[in-house]
Amino acid sequence: MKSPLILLFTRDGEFAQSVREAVSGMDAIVLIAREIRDGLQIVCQRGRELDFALMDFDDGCRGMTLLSAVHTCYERLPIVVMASEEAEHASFLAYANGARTCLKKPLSAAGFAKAIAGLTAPRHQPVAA
Amino acid sequence: MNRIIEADFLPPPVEEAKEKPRILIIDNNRDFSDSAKLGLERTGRYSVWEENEPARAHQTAQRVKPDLILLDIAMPETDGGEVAARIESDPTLHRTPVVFLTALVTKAEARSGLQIQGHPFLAKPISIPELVAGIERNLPAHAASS
Repeated sequence: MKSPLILLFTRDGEFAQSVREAVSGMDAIVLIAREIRDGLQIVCQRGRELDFALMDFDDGCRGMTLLSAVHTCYERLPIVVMASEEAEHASFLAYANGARTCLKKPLSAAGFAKAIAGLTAPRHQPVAA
Repeated sequence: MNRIIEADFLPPPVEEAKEKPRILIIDNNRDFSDSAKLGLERTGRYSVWEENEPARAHQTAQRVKPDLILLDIAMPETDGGEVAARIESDPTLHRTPVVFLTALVTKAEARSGLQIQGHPFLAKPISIPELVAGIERNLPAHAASS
């Protein structure tokens, strides 16, 4: 079974750590893009190999253009957006620009793992004959 | 066991063909300009340059000779208004359309046809399709041929 390949856009070390904890046990490969430019290049060049991209939506302003660019690069890539509780408009913007799921911060590792399980499960389940 | 790979090994993007409209993004926020550049280039319609140092914006515009400039208003040290004024006073650039980008207006205000310093503006946050629409509205020659 292929290890899930996850692209994480973040410069936040704590957030990266929580993602590591959440995906522990999944044998996942996590590509951490600290620079937006690097992450976008990965999406363009290896989008088909990725199981999903995860991005911190920040205040919704920078994130929306990034999200839209990622979606433009590879429309079929599932995108999970993390947004702060206060950014009420973030979910609306995220879904309007191609996000598959929008999660509110702070989110526990267990809650996060449960949320992303649905994104990776279909690809790794056996197909009925 | 998880494997963590730091992504800092990719080559810079190659430059696009010359016949596409040339767009220059001037914004001190590199996250925004990187996203916008790549998103616009992926549409296949534009060649895009970015400048993140407002003080160098005029010089970069002289070098790139863009067909349109997307210019952030709120930048430290040299704001977008100053950059626009320099471009307007340059005989080689004064006909280049300048479209302001700003988080200080609503999308409704941006659609209203109002102008800032005589230039149209687009509201941030903005998606790639909205950017494309804004560019096409202000690139009459290219818009007519597309």
